[in-house]
This record gives sequence, structure tokens and C-alpha cells, in this order.
Amino acid sequence: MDIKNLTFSYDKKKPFIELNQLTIKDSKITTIIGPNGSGKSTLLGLIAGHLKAHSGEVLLDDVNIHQISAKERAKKIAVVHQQNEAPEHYTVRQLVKIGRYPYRNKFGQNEEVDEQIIDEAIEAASLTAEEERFVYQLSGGQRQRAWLALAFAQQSDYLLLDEPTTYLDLHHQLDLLARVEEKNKTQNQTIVMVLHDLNQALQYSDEIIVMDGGRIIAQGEPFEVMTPEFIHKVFKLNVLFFEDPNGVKHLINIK
Amino acid sequence: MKKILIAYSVMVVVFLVVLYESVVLGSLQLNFGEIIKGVFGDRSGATAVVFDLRFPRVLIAIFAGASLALAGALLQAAIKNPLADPGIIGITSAAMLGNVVVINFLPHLFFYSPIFAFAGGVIAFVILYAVTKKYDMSPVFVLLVGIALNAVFTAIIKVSGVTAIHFTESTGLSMKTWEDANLLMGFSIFGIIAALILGPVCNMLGLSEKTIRSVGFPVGKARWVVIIISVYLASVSTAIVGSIAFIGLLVPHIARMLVGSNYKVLLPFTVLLGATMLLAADTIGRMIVPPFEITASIIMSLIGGPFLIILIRKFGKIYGH
Repeated sequence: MDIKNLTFSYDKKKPFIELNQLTIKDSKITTIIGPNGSGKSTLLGLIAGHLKAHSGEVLLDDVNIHQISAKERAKKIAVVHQQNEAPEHYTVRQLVKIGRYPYRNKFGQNEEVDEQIIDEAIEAASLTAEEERFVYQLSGGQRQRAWLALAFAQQSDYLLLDEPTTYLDLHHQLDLLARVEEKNKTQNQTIVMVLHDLNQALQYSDEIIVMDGGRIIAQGEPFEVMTPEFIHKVFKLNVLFFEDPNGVKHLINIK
Repeated sequence: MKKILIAYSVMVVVFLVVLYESVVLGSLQLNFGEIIKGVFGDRSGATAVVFDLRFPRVLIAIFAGASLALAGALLQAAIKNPLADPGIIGITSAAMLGNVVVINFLPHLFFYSPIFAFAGGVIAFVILYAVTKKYDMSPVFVLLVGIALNAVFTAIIKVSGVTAIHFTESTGLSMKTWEDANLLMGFSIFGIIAALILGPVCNMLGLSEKTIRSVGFPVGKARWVVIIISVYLASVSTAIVGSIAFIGLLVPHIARMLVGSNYKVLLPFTVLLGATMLLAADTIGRMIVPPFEITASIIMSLIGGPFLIILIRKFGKIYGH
């Protein structure tokens, strides 16, 4: 995905986002991080096509995403949001089925294939046992997985996640991220996430993009970009890295 | 599932009972045999009177009740607000204004009054749409602008009552003729069918906007269509029976408590429930202190309100919580 000369603002006076050039690597996990108000979610919204840029373009396979229909776009880009709501009569399966919406046409689509894809999506989210239960009856962690399954069912090249772990406890946060990582490794799906937690961003990404004030101030391999000096400058934190027995580096905040 | 079947069965039975009573009861009482004979053309004396005066009224109550209830249900789906009701957002008063215009200035076009009412409703809706468009018809804005519109249109109607122009608000179900009934049925049937088809769309609109947009669902357009049908149903009803409080608000809620929030199931049930409630209200209003009539609107408010409270206490659910 290529992004060129993007500008966007919420109030038409001050630009909120200004980007010259950004390339998102296919089949990799890219995470966007930055302080509050840096424009992370806005950028994700622009990439997803929810928001329209005032100038510049977002190109997917050299096609401007706004020049294709919403359904076509939905076949290429799926999004999982922070918070979601579903009417109480929806079962897990009915919810995931909505992920097949972009493939539906007036005269019935291939029912069997659809059902299989829905099965796989539910399986990938480990909700097979719950598929006939109502979404509102699930626990928070399970519910977010249902929305993840919906996105899986879209079978898109790109999967975008906007702070999907905010309302989950730590166990479920890591669980969700592990599943997303699995998707990437097994099916080469390109992942773009906005995360708050710096450690999660570091540990689950192939590429990291740091935003501040609506601009991208750094991009690259996570541990190369995120040095303690850089983190101090951008996030106003004093940190150091700790390497655990498995060789994984963790960020620790020092008061 | 079983609960839904039971609810539907009971509803049909209640409807038939209310229908029977509404036809039979009145200052002139008929028995079942006379009714059947009358339906098949053999009308004489009392039967003729009943057929001329009461039948149209019964049919109007059924179609207006169904239309208003559906209008409320659709609106609630579109703007995701359980307090939504065509009256609240100004559609009803705009429709009445349209009607007032016809009656006062173009009385020869009386047959087209539902169209003028619809025109009024549409104008109100267009203003609503134009103002809330950039928010993609988000619930809060629709409600706020609607309330403002309602105030304006109601004021205009009141003002025209103060001036020398004499106008008749066609409120209530009394003194309605077959002309009125045919007019209402002819216009509303299209809206009712359209509404029933929109069940799946309403279901989609119940999900988070961001999510359905992500799968390519045309949110703005869908809302637009649902609201237009709602406006149509409310306007057409208002043209014939004026504004009747509460149906659009109460009936969908009660229906939801009984059969759940799946619009494919909810909408047909709303048709039955709306028709039954208005018919019952009208019949009770006729029979309670003869020869005086209490308007259906008042009965609806008196009975509908406490009824809703009882149901809430029993089933404890309001719009999905």
C-alpha cells in the first residue's frame, strides 16, 4: 500500500495529518504508535477508507481506494475497531456472516463456500463452541474475538486493527495479538495495527511507525527505531530495555 | 423461537377478537350473522349504517395503527434511538401542515391530501437530511434538528388557527367515510409492504456504524431509505387521522419485548400490534361514555403508558439492555 501527499483535518482550518510518503509492506505486521492525539487512529481511518483525505491518495495495488466501490474495498481491507455493538438477537455465527457481505450479490452467492469460510473464521478465533450463543452473552475477550472473526471472514489482503485490545484484560490482549500474528504467518495477511502498549508494539511487529503531531517521525525495524533516547523524546518516558532468558527485549519504565 | 411463535399466535387471536368487537359494538349492535351477511352484500337497515360508518372507521384504525407503528419502528432502527417517533422529529406536524394547506387552499384536491401530507413530511425530512448530512444522519443530530423542526411546524399550524383562515384538522377517527378509508388503504399499503422488505436492512443498521461501513454496507443510503418509508407511512396516516400520540413510540417497544429485536420478525408483529392497539383504543373510546367519544389518542396515552411500564417491570428489557 502506498500513501502519497496525504493531508487531512477535522476542522478544515488546521491540518491534522500531513504525510509525504508512506509505504506499508505487504504481508508484514506494521504497528502505528504515538502519543495521544498524534493522529494514529485518524491515519488508520484514512488507510481504511473511512475518512477521505483532503489531498493526496491512498493506493492499494496502485489503485486509489476511493475509486473502487465500498464492497470492493471491503474485500481488500477489513477493520477491527476498539468498541463494537451488536443487537441482542445476533448469534456469533450470524455476526461473523456479516463479514461475507461484500461478496453477496442480489442473486445468491455460493452458499456452501460462504459457510465454510465462516466456519474457518470462527475456528481461527476459537469460538466454534460458542457459535450459536448470542454475542451479548459472551465475555469481553470472547466478544472481541467475534468481531475479529467477522474481519477474518472478509478474507481481505489487509487487516487493520484500531486499538483492539483497549478494553481487554492482559491475558486476552496477548491472546488477540497472538491470533493476529498467526493470521499473518499462516496466510500472509498484511496487518496494520494501532496500539497503545509499546511493548506489545515492539514484540508483535515487523515494522513500526511512530507518529507525533500528525506526522510520521520515524519508521523502521522496531528495536532500531525505539531507542531509550527516542522514546524519551517522543513519549516523555524514562525507559530501559531488559532482555529476558528467551532473548526477548522488554521495555521497562523507570520513574 | 417458541416464545415468538406463542407471541404471534396470541397476537393474531387478540387481533381477531378486537376486530370482532369493534365491528359489533356501538350504538347500533349487530350480531355475527348480520355481519357475515353484510360482508357479502346483503345490507339493510342497521347493517347498512354499520357498514357505512363503522367499517371504514375500523379499516382506518387498522391501517393507520399499522402504519404509525411501522413508522416508529423504522425510525428507531434508522437513527438508533429508542425515543424516536415520527412526531418527535417533526414529520407528523409537517405532514399536518401539508394537509392543512390542501384543505384550506386546494379543497378540490382532497383526494391527493396524503400526497400533500407526504410532501410536507418530505420537506421536513429534506431539511433534516441537508442539515445532518455531514454527520451521516447520526442519531443525536437527527433528534435535535427534528425537535427544532417540530416546534416550527407546530407553531405555524397554531398561527394559522389564530388568523382568519379557518382550518379543520382532521384529527381522530370519527366521521370518517369510505373515501377516507380507501384513500388511506390505497396509499399506506405500499409503505407497509416496503417496510416489511426492509427488515434485513434494519438489522444491519443495528450494528456499529464503523463495522458495517467496513464491510461495504451503504450506511447513509440505507438510513435514508428507511427514514423515507417511515416518513411516508407517518404522513399518509396523519393526512387521514391527524396525529395520534404514542403509537410510533410504544408499539415497537412493546413488540420488541415480546418477540425480540430481529426486524424480520419484529416488523410484521408491529403491524399486527399497531393495528390492534389503535383499533382497541378507538373502540374503547367509542364505548366508554356513550354517546360521547373519547379520541383514540387519549385512550392510547391512558392505556399505552401504564401498559409499557408493566411490561418493563415484567420483562425488564428496554431496547436491548
